[in-house]
Amino acid sequence: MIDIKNLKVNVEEKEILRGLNLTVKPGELHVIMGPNGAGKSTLANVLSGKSGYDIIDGDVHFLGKDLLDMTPEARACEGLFMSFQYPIAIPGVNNMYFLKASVNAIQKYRNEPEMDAMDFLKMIRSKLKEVDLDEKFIKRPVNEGFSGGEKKRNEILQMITLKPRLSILDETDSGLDIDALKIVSQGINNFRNPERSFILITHYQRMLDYLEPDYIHVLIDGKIVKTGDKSLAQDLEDKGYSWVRETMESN
Amino acid sequence: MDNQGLSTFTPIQIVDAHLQSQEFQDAFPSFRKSAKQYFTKSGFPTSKTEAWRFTNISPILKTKFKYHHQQEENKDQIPAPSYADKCLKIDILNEKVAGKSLDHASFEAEGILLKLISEDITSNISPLTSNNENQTAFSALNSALFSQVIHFQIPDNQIISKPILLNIFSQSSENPVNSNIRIHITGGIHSQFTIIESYSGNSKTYFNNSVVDINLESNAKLEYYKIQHENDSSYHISNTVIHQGKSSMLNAYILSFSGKLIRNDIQVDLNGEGAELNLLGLTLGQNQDHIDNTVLVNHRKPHCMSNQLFKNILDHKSHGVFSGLIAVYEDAQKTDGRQKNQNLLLSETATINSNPQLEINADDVRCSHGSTTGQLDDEAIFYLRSRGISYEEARKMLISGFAHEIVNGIGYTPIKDSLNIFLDNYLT
Repeated sequence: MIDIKNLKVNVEEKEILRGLNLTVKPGELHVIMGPNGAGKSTLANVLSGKSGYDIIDGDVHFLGKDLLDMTPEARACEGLFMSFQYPIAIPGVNNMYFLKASVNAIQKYRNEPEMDAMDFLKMIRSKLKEVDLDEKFIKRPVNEGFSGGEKKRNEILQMITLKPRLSILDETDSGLDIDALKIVSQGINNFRNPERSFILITHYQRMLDYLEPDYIHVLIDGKIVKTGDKSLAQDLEDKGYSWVRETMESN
Repeated sequence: MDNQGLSTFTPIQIVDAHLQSQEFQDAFPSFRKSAKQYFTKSGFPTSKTEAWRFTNISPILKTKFKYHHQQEENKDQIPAPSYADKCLKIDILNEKVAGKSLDHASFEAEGILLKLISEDITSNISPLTSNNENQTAFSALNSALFSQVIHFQIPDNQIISKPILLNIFSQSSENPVNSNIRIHITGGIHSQFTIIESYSGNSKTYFNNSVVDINLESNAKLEYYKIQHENDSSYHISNTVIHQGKSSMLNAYILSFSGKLIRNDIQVDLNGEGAELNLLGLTLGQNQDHIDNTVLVNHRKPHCMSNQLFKNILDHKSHGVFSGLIAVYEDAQKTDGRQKNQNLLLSETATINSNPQLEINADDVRCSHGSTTGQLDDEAIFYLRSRGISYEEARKMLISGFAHEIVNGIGYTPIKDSLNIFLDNYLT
């Protein structure tokens, strides 16, 4: 699905990612954990094509294509999706209009017919149910006046509507109460299939109670320093990142 | 005064010539005299005049114009907005109504009293008073020179279903033409009506100098649109004064799309208790457009509400000005006055001067004002792009989103639709 090799990224002359390697295969869910400032959000932003990052070295292949060469919109059209840590409010732009524009931009890129308003409405109604959102919700401006939980559910709504091959979920669990966490996790679980992959970035293991990750990676100082299964998340929760640093040094 | 032929004069020359005439032997001696008085005391504003600090009118004062330009009503139809056939239309070519295209019967059928008062009418006409007591040099210029008053009255209790469209078209040939457009409107008690004052012109330089007087009697309800599509070598100065009586209601939209220099002086006097005003403005500046909205809202009586929202979207080297004052008089307790100016700059070279002001002389009032200026939000553009939407489309969505509050507030759907089309072209 995605193959990241020796990725080195600077932000304003400062080294943030220092040779990161990660391979995600179809159907897999990878979790990246790490302390603040380790480079987690930088990784998500670089993969989704945000500007302001200097790529010093390395390459990224997504479904066999050079990802770093593509515009953000081309990445989305190729099947990459990022759920934002802080989804931005866009006053005056109706959520439904935005979602329809997004679906149809991707359809057009793939030379598939655009959806008309009726078909779209039918489709979006069923998706809204999956994330337990009221229909009123898509008639409001994008993310404007949404609570933290509503914003994150709106991100998941977009994910299940756009049906990406790879979803990068940047701290999707932050700002969620326990009920919203369950709904969001349920949305992700229902969406999983052998063709779809996920990179979940998080500080906490609490969301992992609801998901079944294949791998846990620990990102420290711009590199993945440890990889394990679900039990690694529990170890981190119990012992903290200093434990990883100590085991690194003793090795 | 020979100003009908081929001669051209600057506005200063024509005013000087005007001041020399002792007798005003036309239908409007009082207007001519008051204009003379204005120019005897004061002249045209300069860059030092506070109210004109951001708008330089010297290009107008230097231009030699033709006045009272007799326009042949030719075979060609006067261009009109797409929704014209849904309206009661008055074509105005330069400063005079194009009589041939005027369908008097349809106005009569709606009960509108329409009168075109021209110089050649010497019989006694009903006393014509003006709200515009020559507040500015340009309203005085208009009072000195206009050749026709377009006057209509909506009788008491009359509800006019179709909008009244003033389709004002300017046509210059080799010499630029100055048109002094004069419109007087009265809405009777409990009347309801819509006015669309729409400006456009051919591709030559012209100068529209319009004065619009509107009186709304008690409980009258007006939806008023001023739409400016001038060409990018032309000038447009307007003085609009609206008096609102008790419990009257006005929704006004000032939509300025293009013009080399546009200055709108808009004054609304809330003269009766419980009057309500919603004043919305949208400016789309491009190239070297200069568009100035100078607004004065006078709260003279208690329990009146005014709500102003002016949005400027400015691209290229365009320049926007918003100057707004809410003045609350001593008597005007329980005033609710709000004013908001929001500006979106699409280029590094576009500029805005914003000057919102409050002057409050009553103690029990609620007033607010504010101004914000910004550029397109990169984070928002990235958000949209990350969902597959192209940069161009994302930019369009954000700009439309910025204008949405105004566009969505427009009550007359054909104007909303044509505005959306214009916005779409502006953004492409």
